Amino acid sequence: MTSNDPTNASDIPRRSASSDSANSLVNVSSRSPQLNSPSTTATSRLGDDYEHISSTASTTSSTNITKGHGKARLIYCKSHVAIHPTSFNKDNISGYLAIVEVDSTVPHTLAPNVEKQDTNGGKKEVLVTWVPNELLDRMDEEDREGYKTVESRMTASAQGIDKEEDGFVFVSLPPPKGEKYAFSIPVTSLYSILVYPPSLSHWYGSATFNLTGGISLPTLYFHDDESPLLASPTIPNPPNVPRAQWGFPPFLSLLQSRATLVRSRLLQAKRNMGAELWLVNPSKSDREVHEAGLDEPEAEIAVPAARRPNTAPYPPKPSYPNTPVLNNATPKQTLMTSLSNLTNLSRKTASQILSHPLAQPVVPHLPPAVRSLVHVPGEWERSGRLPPKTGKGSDVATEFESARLYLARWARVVAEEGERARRNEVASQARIHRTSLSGSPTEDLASDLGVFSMLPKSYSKRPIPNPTRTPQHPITARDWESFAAQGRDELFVRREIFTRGFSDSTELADRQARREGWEVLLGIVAWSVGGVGGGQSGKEKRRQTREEAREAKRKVYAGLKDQWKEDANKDGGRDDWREEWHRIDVDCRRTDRNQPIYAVPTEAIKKGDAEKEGGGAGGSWNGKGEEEEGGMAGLNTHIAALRTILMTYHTYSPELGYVQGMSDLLSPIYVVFDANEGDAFWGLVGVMKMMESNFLRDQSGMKRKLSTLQQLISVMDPELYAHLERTDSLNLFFCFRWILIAFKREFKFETVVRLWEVLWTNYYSNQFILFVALAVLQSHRDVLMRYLTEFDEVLKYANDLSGTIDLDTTLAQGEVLFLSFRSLVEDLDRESTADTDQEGLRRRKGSAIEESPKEGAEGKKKERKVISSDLRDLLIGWKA
Amino acid sequence: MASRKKVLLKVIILGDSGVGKTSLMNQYVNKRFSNQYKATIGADFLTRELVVDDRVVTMQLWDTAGQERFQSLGVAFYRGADCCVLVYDVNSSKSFEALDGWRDEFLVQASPHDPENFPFVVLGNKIDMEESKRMVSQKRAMTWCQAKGNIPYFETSAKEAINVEQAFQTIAKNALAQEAETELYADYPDPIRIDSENSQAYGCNC
Repeated sequence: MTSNDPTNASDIPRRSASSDSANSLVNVSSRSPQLNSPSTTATSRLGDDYEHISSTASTTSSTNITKGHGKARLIYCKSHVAIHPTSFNKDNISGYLAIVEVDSTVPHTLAPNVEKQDTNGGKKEVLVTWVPNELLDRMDEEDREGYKTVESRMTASAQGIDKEEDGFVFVSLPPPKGEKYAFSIPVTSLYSILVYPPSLSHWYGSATFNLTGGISLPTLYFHDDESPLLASPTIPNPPNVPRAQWGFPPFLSLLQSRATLVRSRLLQAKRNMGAELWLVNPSKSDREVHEAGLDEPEAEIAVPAARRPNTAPYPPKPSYPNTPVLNNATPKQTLMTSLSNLTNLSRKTASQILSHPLAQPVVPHLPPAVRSLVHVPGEWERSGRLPPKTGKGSDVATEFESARLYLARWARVVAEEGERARRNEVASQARIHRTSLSGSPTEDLASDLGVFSMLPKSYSKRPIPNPTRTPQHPITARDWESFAAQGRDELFVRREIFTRGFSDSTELADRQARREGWEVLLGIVAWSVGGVGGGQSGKEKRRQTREEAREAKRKVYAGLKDQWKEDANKDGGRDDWREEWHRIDVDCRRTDRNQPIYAVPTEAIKKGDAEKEGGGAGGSWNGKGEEEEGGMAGLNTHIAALRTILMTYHTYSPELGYVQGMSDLLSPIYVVFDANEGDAFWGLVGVMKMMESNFLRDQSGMKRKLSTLQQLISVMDPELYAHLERTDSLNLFFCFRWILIAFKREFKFETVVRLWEVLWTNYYSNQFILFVALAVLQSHRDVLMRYLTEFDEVLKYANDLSGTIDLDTTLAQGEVLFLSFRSLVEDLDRESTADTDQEGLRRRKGSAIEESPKEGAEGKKKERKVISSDLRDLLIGWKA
Repeated sequence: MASRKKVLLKVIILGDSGVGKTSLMNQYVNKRFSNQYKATIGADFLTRELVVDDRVVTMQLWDTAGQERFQSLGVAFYRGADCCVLVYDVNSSKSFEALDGWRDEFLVQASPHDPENFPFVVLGNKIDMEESKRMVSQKRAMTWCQAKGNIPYFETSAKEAINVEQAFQTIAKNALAQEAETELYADYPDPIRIDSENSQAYGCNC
């Protein structure tokens, strides 16, 4: 997985005061990588990276550097800071959060952010670490005492009691890559800290460290009420101070003395349960975005007031000024960023509420009213699980994975509800702005992207690309005609279809526009047909030439159909064809039966009637009773037509033949092509040209696509990748249906039509569908990662997303993901041609590289990351 | 063996496309029939809790695509199966003749610990249709089942809910036996004998 990253590997064993434990930890983690959490992996990767850079930055003295610098000065520490690896209380791992300072003689080429120069001339490296109690117990007595001493000092000073400084406390440096989620990272690698103070819904306050590489460390929960901070009997509580004090601000203020911290204005604490986003040593551009029109620079060092009333010596400065975030002058970019943050949080919030220890026993006993919130149509039917019965509910909640699925779904529904509400709110805000500002196009765009919920994780640092789609302005018949009249080229047309799609209006003219568009996309009638140019005559000429082109194709189709029918009736037909006919028949009778066009009135089910007008293979197969029903739905003209088209396709493309799933692809095409059999046949041929590899006998095409998607996930969202690996889901079979039939079963009939025309433009990529899949996964990543621990749970969850996905949001995300991916590849290419002397610390850590993952696991040093050819192929789109 | 820890039984349903795998599963779990089921793409599963020999067990029924082409994906789903249900349509000889292939395919891909004794159950579905349409006689089916090591056989109708409950009860029993057998290797006390059901399982009330 991640260990194949060539940049991080070093053959040089780490030698330090704690080298023994460090080495054994390395061994532990390399022996059983599947036990590692994504965060552990992230940590170890970072540690590796750090080590690697040290050793390359000055190879001559690398041994000197790493030797004898094992002791670190403990500046701050706090106990009862826990990681919650699962939603279960019993799995919580309690430990110490600490800030340490080490002398570093390593030239700081590794730190792009300028490190503070210490007075003694040497440089200090400040590390943020978290050590689980378990690990601490195995450390020296001296170290343990050190932690306790410093914490009691912290406690004392927090109480306003001035204790005499009795000198620096030195402890062993925790290993950079540790077991049990331990981490130790340089402050220079921190990108931001997302903080939730404790509240009624967040029992424990929490902090999540995001690194510059796009990785997030596991969230730390401050179990303040168990903390000796105020519970300690040796220290008297000052009057008017509640027992527990929110433990994060002291940490923050200490960190502030070692790094520049800027609080993001994009995150509105009031709306996000008091959430705060702190940027660590932000770049100029990040500052601009996150400060969003803020002009009091002194505010940047302000520390928020402790969340609880009446608490605390913090902050040193008064509370943060309240300025509206959605400010009129805010650039589009900023608005987008803020939206994404906001919605991200609402998902997180929902899943956090559900993971609250108190929520768990309650969930199975929810009153019907609340339960109905979970009742997405078809939910229970599909899951086959009735709402848990009272009495047995708690067993279910703790014992079976279905309970986790249940929670996951609930979290999803709550999050979606939250987002819907938020979107409405944002939209109405945007409307207000529009009216007051006489409407700027950027807000128009943004209002529709209100649920823009997940951005590529590894890209938290770079500017977020803007999605360009404007589905609220679909192509109408008039627009469509104007493209030709204005002499637009095909690339323009494809881009228009990509960004806008066709109008869903039922007007004949608009339906025709879509049909003509599809004929172009599916290669039935060329865009240039009939030439370009305005005027009535130009229009008429195009219409005529188009009709001629159609007629010619229809003739060919009729010939193909007659051919196999004739063969079939000769001597009972070929056996293999008969089998195929049966298969096709069975499938067509169960394709989109909820669509009016394919519905059969119960009284008309009398077979024979429908069969006759079927226009299909008349009398089915040589008069033999092939039209069995046995619970099968009946036939009507249109179903019969589907059957005939597919059988014709079977003979037209014998190597491929008919494969399950093709009827799903054909059915909307048949509808858009006005139920014209011949046109729909060529539509199927066109779509199969693009999707043929999905249906190969040996499934090699699907395997390859899933493997490409897997690599894409590893590059764009390493955490999710690690989670899928842990849950044995890396084969991505749960995406199989999505890819095979292009999300046909995941969206409503009318919606899938809108998706397909976007996909078929191949505007950005011939495999844009993989970015759509990634977008779906990313928007559910929190729920996936928090609740789902087994392959079957992931599969069930993915299957049950059917009917719940919002198309336009997903497409916008997919586009952003594509653009981010493209710029990632460009960056890597630039780097690979760039000077090799200086290794940048902040280099991206893409892990989908050519070499097999096993190879990298040994920690071999690789020269360069190379984007695999499969991934590179994703950048190939339509060309004239 | 009263209330021990709960058991999850994994059951794989195989058979040609259109024989009624999804329908059987839904009839058993959701007690309903619909002719609106679509061809299964990929895989899905349903679960139901039931009591077998005074033990509460959860049965996880896996439904897969029927076209052979998709079987290479089966490995991921077959692993850890406790019982395999082979379904054919009594009105289609071809679907019956395919059973051999399905059985072999399963044994190869799932590679169970003891293939000789791995529990299969055969279901002949769609017996609600006119007798004149029937292509596979009960005798023929039972002969096959006997030859394959006394595989329990049921004739069912997912549409009319005939024999579905009984069939899955047997499936659960045999799966539980298999599960116990498997756990025996892990020092599991009190195994259940595997062959206790076979003789009665032929009972078909139609």
